[in-house]
Amino acid sequence: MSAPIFFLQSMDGMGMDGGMNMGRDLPLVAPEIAVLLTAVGTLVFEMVRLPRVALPFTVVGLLVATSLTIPLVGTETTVFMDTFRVDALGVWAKLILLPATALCAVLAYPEVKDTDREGTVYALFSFTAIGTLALAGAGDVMFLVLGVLLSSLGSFALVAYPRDDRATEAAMKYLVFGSVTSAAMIFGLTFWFGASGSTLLSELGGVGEMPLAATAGLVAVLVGLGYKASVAPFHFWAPDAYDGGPLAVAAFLSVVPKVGAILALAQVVRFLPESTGWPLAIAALAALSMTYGNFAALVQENVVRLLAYSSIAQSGYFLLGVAAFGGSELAVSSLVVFAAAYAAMNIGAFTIVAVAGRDLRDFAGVGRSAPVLGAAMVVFLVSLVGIPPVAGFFGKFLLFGAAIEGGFVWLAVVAILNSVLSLGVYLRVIVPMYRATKPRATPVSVPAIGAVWMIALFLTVAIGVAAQALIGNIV
Amino acid sequence: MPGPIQTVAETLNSQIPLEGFLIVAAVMFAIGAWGAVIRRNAVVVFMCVEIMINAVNLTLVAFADFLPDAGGIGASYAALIIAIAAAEVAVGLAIVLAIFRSRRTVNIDEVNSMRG
Repeated sequence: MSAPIFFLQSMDGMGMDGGMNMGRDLPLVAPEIAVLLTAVGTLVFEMVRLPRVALPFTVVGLLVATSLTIPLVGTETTVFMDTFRVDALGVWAKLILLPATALCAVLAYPEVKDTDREGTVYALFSFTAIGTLALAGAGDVMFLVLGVLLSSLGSFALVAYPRDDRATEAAMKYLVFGSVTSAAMIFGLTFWFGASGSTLLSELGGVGEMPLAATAGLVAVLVGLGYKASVAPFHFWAPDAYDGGPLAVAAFLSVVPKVGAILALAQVVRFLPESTGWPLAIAALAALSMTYGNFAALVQENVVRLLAYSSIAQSGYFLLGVAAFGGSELAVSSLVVFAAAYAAMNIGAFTIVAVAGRDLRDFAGVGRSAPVLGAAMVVFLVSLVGIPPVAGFFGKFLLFGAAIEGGFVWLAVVAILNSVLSLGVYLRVIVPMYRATKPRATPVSVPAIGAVWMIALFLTVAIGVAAQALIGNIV
Repeated sequence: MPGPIQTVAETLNSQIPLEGFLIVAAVMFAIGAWGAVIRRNAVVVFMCVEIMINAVNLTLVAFADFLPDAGGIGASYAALIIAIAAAEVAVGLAIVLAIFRSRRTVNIDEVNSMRG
C-alpha cells in the first residue's frame, strides 16, 4: 500500500510553496475574475434600474475577459497549490466559451428585453460560464464538483426564466435529473479522495491499486460530466430543456457547459491510470452517444429537439478526442479545434431557428424567401455534418485522426458511419428549405439576431480556413 | 464492576472502524437514491437528494478522520458540499414554487407535457 507515500509527497509540495503565492496566481486567473466582476456588475445595473446597460456591460466584460486570456496562450502551469490548471485546454476553453457566451447573451436580448429582471439573464450566463471555466481547468476534485454545480444551478434558472408552463416543466425535469446525477457524482468522487488521500487530480496515479475505489470514482465522473455534456445515456434532460426554455438558453446549454464538461473529462483522464479501463469506457460512451443521437434526431419534427439530439451525437464525436487522450499527440488540438468549430456552428444553427421557427414546417421555402439566411443555415448544417471546407470538417478530421492514432480505429469507423447518418438528419432541414412550396412567411431577423448569425457564419467559415494556423498555435 | 453508564461510555469511546461509517453512508445514499427515483412529489425528491448529499458528507468526514495526513482537506471538502447543497435547494425550491404557481401541483408525473 503506497498511499502514505502520496500523503508525504503532497505535504512536501505544500511545505515548499509555503502556501499560496497570490501575487503569481491571481494574474493567471484574471479572465475568471473579469467574468465574475462582469456577472456581479450586471446584477448591480439590474438593481439600480439600468437594465439597458446590462447587455452592453456583459458583452464588453466577456470580451475583456477574452482579451485577458490571449497573453496566457502557451502557458502550462497550475495555480492555487496545483488545484487549478492554466494549460492549453483551460486557456482555449476561455478563448472559445467567453465569446460564445457573449453571442448567446446578444441572442437572448430580443427574447428577454423589457421583461422583468432582464439583466439577471445576462448575469446568469456569466455565472454559468464561470462554472464551465472551473470545469475546463479543473486540477482538483473539488473544482469538478464546484464546476458541475455552479454551471448546473445557473442553467436551471436560465431554463426556468420565462416562468411559463413549458419553461418551468423543462427546468423541473432538468433540475430533478441534474441534482440526482450530481449527487451521485459527488458520492463516487469521495472514494478517490479516500483512496489517494488527496483531492488533487494529479495524485490520482495511486488509485489504480484500489480498483473498487478507482471504478467508483470513474463511474461518478462519467455520470456527472456525461450529464453536463449530455452524453447518452445521461442525456434525458437535454431535448426538454432546450425546447422548453428560450432559444438563446438552448444555444448556450448546447455549447458552453458541454464543452466545459468534455474538457474537464480530458483533465481527469490525463492523470487517471489506464488500468481503470477509462479509454474503453469513454470509447463505448462515444459510440453510444453518436449512434443514439443521430438515430433519435432522424425522427424529430421539432428543429430544436432535432438539434438537441444532434448535439448529443456531437458529444460523442468530442469523446473521441478524450478517449484518445492517453495515446495521441493530436488529442488536445483536436478537442480545441472541434470545440471552436462546434461553438460557432451550433450557436449559428440555433440562431437561425430563432429567426425561422421551431417547427420543421417553418423551414419550408426559407431558402427561396430569404436566400442569405437559408445559405447560412446550410453552411451551419453542412459544418455539423463535417463536410469540407467549413470548420466542422477540420474539427472532426482531427478527432478521427486522434482516435486512430490512439488505437481506436473501430471507433473512428463508427464515427465516420455516423457522419454519413447525420447527413440524413440535417438534410431533413435543408431539403424543405429549397423545395418549391409557398413559404409560410418571410423570416426577418431583428438586428441583434442578424448580427449573431452573421458572426457565427463568419467564424464557421474562418475557423475552417484558419484551422491549419490554429493547430500550429496550440501545439 | 462497571455500571451501565460506564459500559455505554466505553462503547461510545471505542474505535469504530472506517467500514462502519462507509456502510452507513452507502445505505443512506441508497435510501436517498431509491426515494429520488420512486417518489413523485418534487419536494420529497429534493429531500431524498439531500439525504444523498449528506451521505457524501458522512463519507468525507469519515475519510478525513481516517486519513489524518490529508491535512483537513476532507473537512473543507465537506464544508464546500454543504454550501453547494444549500444553493441547490434554494434554486430547486424556487423552481418547484414556480411550477406550483402555474399548475397547482408538484407531482412530477403530472408535469410532463413534452415528449419525444
